[in-house]
Amino acid sequence: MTSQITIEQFWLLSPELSVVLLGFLVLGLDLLTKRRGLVTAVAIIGLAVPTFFSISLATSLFGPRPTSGFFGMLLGDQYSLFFQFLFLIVAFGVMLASYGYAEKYLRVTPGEYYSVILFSVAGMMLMGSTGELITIYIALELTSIPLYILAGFSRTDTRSAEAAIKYVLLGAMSSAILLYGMALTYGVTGTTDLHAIAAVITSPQHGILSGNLMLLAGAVFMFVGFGFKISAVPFHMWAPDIYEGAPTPATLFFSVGSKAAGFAAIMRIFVFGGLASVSGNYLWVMVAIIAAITMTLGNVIALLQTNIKRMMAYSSIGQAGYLLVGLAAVMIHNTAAGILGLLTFLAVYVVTNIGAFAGIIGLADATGKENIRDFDGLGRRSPWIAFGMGLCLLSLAGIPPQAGFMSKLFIFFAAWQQGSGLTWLVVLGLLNSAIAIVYYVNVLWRMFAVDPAKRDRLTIPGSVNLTMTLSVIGIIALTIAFGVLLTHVGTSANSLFTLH
Amino acid sequence: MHVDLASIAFWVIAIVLVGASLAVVLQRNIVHAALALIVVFGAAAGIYILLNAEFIAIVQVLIYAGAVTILILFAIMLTQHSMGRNSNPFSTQWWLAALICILLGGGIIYAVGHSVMAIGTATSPVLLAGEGSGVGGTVVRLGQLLYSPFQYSYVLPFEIASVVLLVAIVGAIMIGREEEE
Amino acid sequence: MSDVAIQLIGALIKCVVVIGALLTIFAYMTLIERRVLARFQRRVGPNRAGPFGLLQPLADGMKMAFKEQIIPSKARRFVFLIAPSISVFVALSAFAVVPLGDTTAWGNSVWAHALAPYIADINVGVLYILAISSLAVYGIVLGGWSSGNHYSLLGALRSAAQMVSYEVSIALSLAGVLMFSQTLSMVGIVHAQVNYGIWFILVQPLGFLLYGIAATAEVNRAPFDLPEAEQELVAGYLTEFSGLRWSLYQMAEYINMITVSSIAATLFFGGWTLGGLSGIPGLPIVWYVVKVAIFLFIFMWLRATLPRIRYDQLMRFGWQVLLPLSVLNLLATAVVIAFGWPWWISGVFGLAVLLVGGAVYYARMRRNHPLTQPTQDEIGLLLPQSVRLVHIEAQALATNGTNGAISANGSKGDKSGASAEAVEAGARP
Repeated sequence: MTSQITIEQFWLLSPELSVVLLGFLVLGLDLLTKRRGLVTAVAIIGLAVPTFFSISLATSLFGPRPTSGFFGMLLGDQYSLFFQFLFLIVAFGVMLASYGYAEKYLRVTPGEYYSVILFSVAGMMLMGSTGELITIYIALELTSIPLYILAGFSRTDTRSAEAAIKYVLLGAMSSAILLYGMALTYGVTGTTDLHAIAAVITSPQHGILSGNLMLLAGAVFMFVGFGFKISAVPFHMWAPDIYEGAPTPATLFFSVGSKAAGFAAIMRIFVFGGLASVSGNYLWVMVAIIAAITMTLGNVIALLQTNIKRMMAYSSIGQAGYLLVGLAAVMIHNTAAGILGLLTFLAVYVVTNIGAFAGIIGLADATGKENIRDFDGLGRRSPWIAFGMGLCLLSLAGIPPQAGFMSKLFIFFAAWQQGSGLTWLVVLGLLNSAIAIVYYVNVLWRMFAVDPAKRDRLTIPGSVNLTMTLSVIGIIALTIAFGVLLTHVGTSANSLFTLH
Repeated sequence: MHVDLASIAFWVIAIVLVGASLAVVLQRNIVHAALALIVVFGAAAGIYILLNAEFIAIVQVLIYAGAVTILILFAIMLTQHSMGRNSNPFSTQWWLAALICILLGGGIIYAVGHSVMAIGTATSPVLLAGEGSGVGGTVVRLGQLLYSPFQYSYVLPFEIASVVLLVAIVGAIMIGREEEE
Repeated sequence: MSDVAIQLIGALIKCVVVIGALLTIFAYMTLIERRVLARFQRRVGPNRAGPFGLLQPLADGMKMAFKEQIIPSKARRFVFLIAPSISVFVALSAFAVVPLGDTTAWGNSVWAHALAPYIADINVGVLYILAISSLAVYGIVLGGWSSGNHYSLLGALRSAAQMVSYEVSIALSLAGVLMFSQTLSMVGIVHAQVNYGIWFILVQPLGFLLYGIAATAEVNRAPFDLPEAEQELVAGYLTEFSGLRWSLYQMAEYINMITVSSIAATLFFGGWTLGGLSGIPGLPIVWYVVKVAIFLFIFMWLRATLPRIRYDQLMRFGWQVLLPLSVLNLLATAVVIAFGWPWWISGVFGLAVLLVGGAVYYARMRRNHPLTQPTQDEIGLLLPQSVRLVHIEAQALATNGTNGAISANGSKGDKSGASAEAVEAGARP
C-alpha cells in the first residue's frame, strides 16, 4: 500500500474524474448557450476523454498501471476497468437515446439533465473500482441521488413525482440498511478496507471466521442494502412503479446502470472482501433462495403486465435472478467461473437492454404511448425499430445463438459445476427462461403479426435510430466475437482473486 | 458490579435516547415527533462525548439537531396543518413492523453479544487508522484522517462526498424551481 | 478533597456567578440601550426611577412579573410554556466557553484552576458555541408555532430561515481565524494571538466584518430584526407572549448579544489581553469587559442608525454577498496558510477586498443616490414604481376616462391629477 498520494494515482482516478469534470462542463455550458444540440454533443462526444483514459490504463500507455491508489481506496485491477468501460457504454447509450425524448417531454435544460446522468455514471464507475466500504457507500450515494432526481424529471407528471418520492424513501432506507451492515462489519474487523477485511476474516488467529454472528449480520445487511439496488425479491417492490412513473430514458438508466453498479459492488464486497466465506460458508444458501424467488416472481408477473415499462421492470427483476444464480455459484466455492458468467451476462444485458429501451423510447417519443398493445404492427409502422427491438428481446429471452443465450448458458453452467447444491437452481432457471420466452415473444408477435389501428409511418428521432443501430451492431458483434469477450472478461474475473 | 460516573451517564443517556426514539415513532403529532428527534440527536451526541469524540458530538448537534431538524420542522410547518391531533398517523400494518423490529433488534443484540471482534487485536496500519495519535486531540487526528495526503486518510470519499452534495443541490434547484414560461 | 470534586464545586460556583451576572447585565443593558437610543434621538430617556434611572430595570422587572401571562386558547400549551425557557437556556449555555481571563488568572493552585474565569475550556470551543447557538432557533420556532397564530408562525419561520442562512456565513468567516490559531479552544485562540504578537483583526479584517454582519443577523438585531417587524407581522413570534415569558425572550436576545460580542472580542481582539497590560491581576477581566462593551455599544448604534432591511434583501444579501465573500476569505486564508506566507498578506488581501467592495458599493450608491435622481419638484410625486395610489388613480380615471389619455404632469403644480403611470413615465427620463 502506497503511503502517499502521487500523480500516478490521479491517472488511476482520471476516468472517473474526467466524467465528473465533463458533468461540470456540461452544467456550465448550459449557462452560455441555449442550443440543446451543442450541449448534448459536448456531453456525448466528451465521453471520449474518460474512454481515452480508461484505454490508457488498460494498455498501460503512460507506463505501468498502479495497482491501487488513495491508500487502497481506488483499485487499478482489470475488474475496475471492465466496469469503467461498461458504464461508459451505459452513459453513451442513455444520453444518445434520450436526446429526442428529453427535448420533447422533459421541460428541463439539457445541461442539468446530462450533467446529472454524468455524475451518476461517475458514481457507478467508482462503485466498481473502490476497495473500501466508506468509498463504496459514498459512490453509491453519488449514483443514487441523480437517479432520484431523474425519476422526478417530468415535473408536471404526477406519476413521475410519485416515482421520485418512492425511490427516495426506499433508496434512503436501503442505504441505511447497507450502512448498518458496513458498521457491523467494521465493528468486527476494525477496518473498512476490503483487502484488510479479507485478511482479518481469513487469518486463523482472530478466529472470527467460524460462526461469527455479527459479521454474518453485517454481510446479510449489506446484501439486503444492495438487494434493493439490484431489485432482488423481496426488495423489488419499488421497481415496477418507478420504472413506470419515471421518464423512459431514466427507466433505461435505472435498469442497466443501477443494476450493474449494484452487482459490481456486491462482487467486490463479497468476493474481493471475502465476506462470502463468513460463518462457515453458508451465505450462498440465502443468495440461492433469493435468486430462486427473484427469477420466478419476476418472470411470472411479467406475463401479466400490459404496460411495457412494467413488463421490462419485472423482466429486469427476472434477469437479476439469473445474475444471483451466478453469484450463488461464486459464493459456494469462490471460483472465477461464476464471476466470468456474471460479468459476461452483465455486458450483454447492458447492450441488449439499451436496444430494447431504445425501441420503447422511440415508440413513446413518436406516439406518447407505452402499453404493450401500442406495439401492434410496429413492424410496418417502423420496421427498423421493430427489427432491432425484436433482436434485443430475443437476446434477453436467451434464444440461441445470440449473445444473451450464451452468457446465460455460462451462468447456469457455472452453477451446475458446483455440484448438487445448485442443481435445483439451474433447473428452476431453465424453467424460468421458458416462461420468459412467452412474454418477450408476445411483444414480437404484436409487432409483426397484429394489424395496427393506424397504419401511418412513425417518425422516430435520429438519435433513437442511431442508438438502436449501435446496439444491434453491438449484439451481433458480441455474438460473433463472444470468445474475445470471454478472454477479456476472464482476466477481469480473475483479478478479483489475485490479491488473496 | 462496578459502577462509575461514565457508565451511569451512559445508561441515563441510553434510556433517554431509546425513549425519545420511540416517541419519534409513536407521537401522534408530527411536530412533537420532530421535537423528540432533536432529543435523539442530542442524546446521540452525549454518547459520542462519552466515547471521547467531542468533535463528532458537537458536529452532531450542529448539523443534525441544529440544521437538519429545523429544516424538517420548516417543511412540516409550511406544508400541512401541524396543529392537528393526528398529523402523524400509524400505518395499519404497525404490528407487523413492530414484530420485525423486535425480532431484528433481538437478533442483532444476540449477535453482538456472542461474537469475537478483531478490532481490539488489530495490528496493521490500516487497522490502526482510527487510533488517536495523542497530539492535538481528536480534532487534529480527525482532520488528518479526512484529508491528509501523506498518511492513511479518507480523502477520496471526502472529495466524492462534495460531488454528492453538489448533485443534491442541482437536483433540489431543478425540482424546486418554478416553471419559466 | 479530590481534584474532581474541586473541579465540580468550582464549576458550580462559576455557573451561579455567570448566570447571576448575565441576568443583571441584561437588566441594565435594557436601561443603557434606552438611554443610548434616547441620546441618539436627542431625548433624555428614562431618568425618573432612582438616580440616572438606575432603578428602572427593577421597576420593569416588577411590572413584568406581575403582569398577566396570557395563554391563547389555540396554543399548544406545553410547548408554549417551555419555548421561552429554551431560548434562555441556549443563550446561557453558549456563554460557558467564553474566557474572561487566562487559566492561571488566580495563580496555579488546584482551586485557582478550578475557578479559572471561564466555565469550561473544551478543545472544540468555537464549534460548541456554533452548535449551541444553532439550537437558539428552536426557542423562536416553537414559540411561534405553539402560539397557534399565523403571524407568530410566519415570524418564527422567517427568523428560522434567517438564522439558518446566516449561521453558514458565521462559521465560514470564523474559519479563517481558526486556521491561523490552529485550535478550536477559545483560550487557545487568545494564546495564539499572544504568540503571534498581534490581534487577529489585523489578519482577518474581512472575516471580522463578515462575522459582525452575520452575527447581527444571527441575534436578530436591527437592521436584521425582521422576526419582529411589527409593520408586517404584528410582533412576529412574540405576538402572543406577555409578562415574564415575553421578557425571557428579551433576556435571551441580550445574552446572545453579549455572547457574540464576546466571540468577536476573543477571536479578533485578543480576548482578555491588551499588550503588556494584561499581566496585572484583575485587569484582564476589565479589558475583556471594555472590549465587549464597545461591541454592545455598536449594536445600539446600529439600531439607532440603520433602517430595517426588507426580507428578500436580507436573504439575497446573506446568500449572494455574505456567503461568497466568506468563502473567498476562507480560500485566501487557506492559500496563505498552505504556502506558509506571512500573516500580513492575509490582512492586506482582506483590506483589498473591503476596499474594492466599498468602491463598488459607493459607485452603486452614487448611481442610485437621491440627489442624482430627478427631484420631487421636477417629476411631480416621487413614489416607488410599485406604489399605486387608489384615490389619485380613481380621480384620474374619473377626470380622463382612460389610462392612456392621462397627460404626464412633468414639471410643477397639479399633482393630484398625476396617475401612477405618469409618475412612472417621469421617473424614467
